[in-house]
Amino acid sequence: MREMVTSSYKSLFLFFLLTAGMSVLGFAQSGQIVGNVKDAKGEAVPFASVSIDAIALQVLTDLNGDFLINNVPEGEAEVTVRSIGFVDSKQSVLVVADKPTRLDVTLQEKVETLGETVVEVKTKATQKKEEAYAVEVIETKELQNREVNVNQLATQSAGIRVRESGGLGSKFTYSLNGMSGNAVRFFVDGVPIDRFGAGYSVNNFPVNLIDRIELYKGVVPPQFGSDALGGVINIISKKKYSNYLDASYSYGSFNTHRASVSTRLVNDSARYFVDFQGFYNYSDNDYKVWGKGVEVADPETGKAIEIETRRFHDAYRSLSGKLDFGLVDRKWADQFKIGVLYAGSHNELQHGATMASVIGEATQNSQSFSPTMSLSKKNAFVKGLDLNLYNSISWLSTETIDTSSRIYDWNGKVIFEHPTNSELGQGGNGKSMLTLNSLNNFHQLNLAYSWAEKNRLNFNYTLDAITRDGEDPLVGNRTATFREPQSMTKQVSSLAYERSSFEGKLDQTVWVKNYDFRVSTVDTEYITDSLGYRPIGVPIGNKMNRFGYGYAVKYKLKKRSLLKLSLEKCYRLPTAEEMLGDGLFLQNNPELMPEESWNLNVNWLLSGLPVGKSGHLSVEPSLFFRNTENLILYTVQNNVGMGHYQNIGKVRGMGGSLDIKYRYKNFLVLSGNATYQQMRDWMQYKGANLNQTYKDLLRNTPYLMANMSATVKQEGVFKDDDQVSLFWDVMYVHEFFLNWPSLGDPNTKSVIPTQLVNGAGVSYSFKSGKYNLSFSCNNLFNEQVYDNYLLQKPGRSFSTKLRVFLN
Amino acid sequence: MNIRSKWLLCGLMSAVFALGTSCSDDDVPAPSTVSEGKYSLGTSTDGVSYILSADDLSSGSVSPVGNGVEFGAAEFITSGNYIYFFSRSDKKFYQYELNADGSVTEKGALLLTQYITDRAYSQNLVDDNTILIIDPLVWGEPEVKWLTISLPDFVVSASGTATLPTVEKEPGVNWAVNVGNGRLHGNKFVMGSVLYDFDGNYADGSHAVVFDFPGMTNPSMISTDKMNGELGIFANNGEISTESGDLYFAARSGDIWGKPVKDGVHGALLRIKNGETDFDEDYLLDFTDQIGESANIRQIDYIGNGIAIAMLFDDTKVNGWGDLENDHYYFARVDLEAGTATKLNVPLSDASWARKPMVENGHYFTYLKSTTNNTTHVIDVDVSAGTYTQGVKVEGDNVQGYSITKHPEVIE
Repeated sequence: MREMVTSSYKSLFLFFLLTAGMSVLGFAQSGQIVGNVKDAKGEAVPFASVSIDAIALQVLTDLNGDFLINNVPEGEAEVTVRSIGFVDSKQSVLVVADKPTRLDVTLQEKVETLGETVVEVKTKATQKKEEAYAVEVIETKELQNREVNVNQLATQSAGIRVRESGGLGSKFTYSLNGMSGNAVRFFVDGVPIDRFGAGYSVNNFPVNLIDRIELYKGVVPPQFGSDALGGVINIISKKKYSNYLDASYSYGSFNTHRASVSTRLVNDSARYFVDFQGFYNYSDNDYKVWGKGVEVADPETGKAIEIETRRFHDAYRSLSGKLDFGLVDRKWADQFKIGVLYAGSHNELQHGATMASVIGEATQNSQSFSPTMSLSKKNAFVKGLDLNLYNSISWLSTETIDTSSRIYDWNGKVIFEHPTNSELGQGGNGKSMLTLNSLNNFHQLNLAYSWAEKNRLNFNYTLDAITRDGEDPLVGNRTATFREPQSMTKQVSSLAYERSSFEGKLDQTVWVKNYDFRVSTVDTEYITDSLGYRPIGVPIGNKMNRFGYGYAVKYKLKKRSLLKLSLEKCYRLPTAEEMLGDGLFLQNNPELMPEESWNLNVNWLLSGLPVGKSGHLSVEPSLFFRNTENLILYTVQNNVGMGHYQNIGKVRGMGGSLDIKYRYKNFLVLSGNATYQQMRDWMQYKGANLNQTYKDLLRNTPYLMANMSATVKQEGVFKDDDQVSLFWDVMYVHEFFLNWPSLGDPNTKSVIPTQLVNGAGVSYSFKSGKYNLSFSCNNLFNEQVYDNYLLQKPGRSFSTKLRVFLN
Repeated sequence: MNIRSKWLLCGLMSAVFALGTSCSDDDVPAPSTVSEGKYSLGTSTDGVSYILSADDLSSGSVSPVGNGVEFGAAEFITSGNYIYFFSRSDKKFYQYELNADGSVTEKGALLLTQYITDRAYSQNLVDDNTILIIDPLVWGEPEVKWLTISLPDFVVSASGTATLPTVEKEPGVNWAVNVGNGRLHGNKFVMGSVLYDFDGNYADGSHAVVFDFPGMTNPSMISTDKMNGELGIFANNGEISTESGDLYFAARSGDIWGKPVKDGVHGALLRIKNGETDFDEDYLLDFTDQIGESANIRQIDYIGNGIAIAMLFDDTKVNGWGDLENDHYYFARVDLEAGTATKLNVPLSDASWARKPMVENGHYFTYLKSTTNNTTHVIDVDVSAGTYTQGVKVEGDNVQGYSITKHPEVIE
């Protein structure tokens, strides 16, 4: 405590000293130093300290490794660059008044010698994991050559389960420590991506466009400015290199093609850059399915006969391109960037909420176009104040074409035909060509004021406004509510105070958040008028304003031992889709209430523990607690081929996971994790009645899962500059019930069966990583795999990938 | 007190309790009005349907906790030692055997996607050996598909299409004809119907379509102007036959349920006499007239000897479709031949989903779901006495009771 007080006085003193110093400097002739910090491999080093110790000036590099020091006195200045895991660098530069001086620094990685063992000190993933939050970080550096997607990577992490309804392009949901569905939000470089449509889904990103994936569980840093009550998936795209080209193409089973290109061109003298990232994905998804739900009728008796067949109407295509033009090192901005993003997808629909509803012609398409603008400025207005602005406008169009009169069986045969029928509205709702048009405005302002190195105040404001209407030239009955205009506005403001004490041993963040929601939507009402008995859309509204708050702390017990705790009270409003349905397999439920939750995480991170002479072990046991009211959960309805979202009242859950990683030299990595969680219905009474499912495990929710992985890497196998790596992954999910576990005879209940899936592959790199080839196999033993009830995922598949990387 | 002493005390207390209960006249349960046996209750709790096993309908409670078989339907049909139901999510028609020990076992499944859509609510137990399912019409198309299922061997025995006859609305324009439930009448299948257009208009009168059965051929339209009713257009029972061979149709009319009310007649019964294939123009049982207040009919079930039970409600007190599942429904004893109806002393309830009640020894077993109290009980209605007793409680929140059936008795 005494040390904290002393530290506070020191901070205050330093703040006044710096302010006074800056005032004096303001009268002298001064200039700027701009530059970039990277490591020996050419990768940017973010958050490195760049200082001129003689005059107590210090800044941090941004995510790209860029920095700017203003008000540097004319003349020679000695600049010191420090970063964890690197050797300090000192360089002298000549500063000229009113003109920026360029300084690019390459840091050498620090090594520690332990006998014969050379150990790299702290990877970026470790640095991120050492934040006070419960965060998983997947570094993709070792995975760049593999044909693997984001969902596959994420679901192998402790406490995380990704549930997919089929192959490439299929719907998926993330579950982070028991919280799932729309409680989990997706970001790319800190910007939410739901406005960009299905074509820009996280799972469409080839891994070689990604630098790392951050998965925040439960407690989310306020800077995200989101109502992500369950967690955040944040993809950090690759932009570490000054000039580079990364291109890949892969081909695999089910006629799957995936191509990507990522490049950055930098002109140092003119101080601008151009970024481009694009990808294309296609798959027929014609994998084999069999068993319950995959049945045809015996032509003589009508008896249901299970068959093995290929999916025949499940092709998926997505295309995306993102072009950015940026200016750097300007007086008014350290970086100013404008860009455009296009994303489109075409999706054939194969079945409804379960595989019993076979679809042979209906399709869904989406397209989005989004201009974006961002600006960042360090020391804006006053020293220590960093400003970040992001704005985007998105036009998203989603079209569902359901005009076929034919009904198909699993053999792909037409078995039924009504001239006025449609596949999705079987039997009574008519044909539809529904197009939903959304206009989204997203604006984010972040102000961070730092003083005395140890204190930081962060204000974040996010405005997210969407208006949506629809058109259907065929005026289908079921699209009545979707043709009316709807709007939703979310504003999230947060103020956070961060403090580092005890020489960096103790880091704390406390924040308060305000959530403001306004929803104007439409419910269905049936009327009889001159147009007959028909549904019409009736406007309904919803609004909410709540305050949430949180606290995160980490304490470094020892050099390799870190204790973390994070706690948050947070809210989430239902999305438009949850309230309104999707016009397809999702029924509306306009009575949905917002979710609210108390989330608590406790993690103990032990990293880099030496094992023998050349091995290192990292262990992270973690515990979590969730206390949620009005949890929004998707449930398949029993007697129709649809589902809907429901509030489950109160849900309380706790669980734990253990994550272990062993590394032997640079040759072998063994990792594994296991998670056990118990999310329970915590509503004791329903009206006057005791709730029968009180303390019952949540239905349709996995509770026991584990993963293991082994990777072997060898350099110089055939040539000095080549590398071969082999991997083997195993994933396990224990069976769980579709409906409430305690209700009904357990022997007759519908279950989502146990999964045990193996995957393996090999990759070969040569010319120091310029050229890379890989071959992999998923679901090696062709297991029948389900994430959701009667929605079979692909069996065994093979893929090969070619990647070129020029830097 | 050691463990042995505790056991001794427990044993003594049990013996005293057993003696007390067996000797006390006050605690003798009321005589059961139903023969002993095992029962299956088709119910839904929190949106999931369960077939629950019950040993006794007269008292106690039954719960889906650890009990019952999940099934994907909102009713089941009983015939012989089997129950049958159509799962819309699976697109399959299932056969389950009623075992003597009270359990049920899946025996087979028919995939019906090539015959009908999953919205086929017209599921008719034509006789002990046949279920007839008719697909609903889509947007006024003239043809309907149908199939019959042979019981208990449980195979599709026939299928086909039928063009429904219609009536001219105006020169060159016909009324659309809707598909309803029906009943076998001699060698004819008489299907309830309603004639409508897409401008919200209905043809006056009440209509039905008569087919030759089992071929489902020669469809013809019959009608009556006795009342402006909608016949058979929902899954609730709406047709009954008496021992004398007369066929009665529930005719529904109201702002919420059925065709627009005309001449103050809400719900009624119409008759087709034995040997006839047209409505009996001398017969109309007007429930509003009989009860003395607006009365529409949700369901009719036959008890025997010319007596039926009608589930009625005052549709003028129903505040829109969202209010239909509330405590609006009551029961009336109907003397079919006399054309009279007497309101029974059963409280208002939401019995609307009790589509397949059980009739045994002149007693009517159905569900009394109280929305007000959030409770659901099986009730035993003594039809001749006009009284009821409250029986087994189905535990749970918002429990819907669909069906009740009795298992075969153990043959020793």
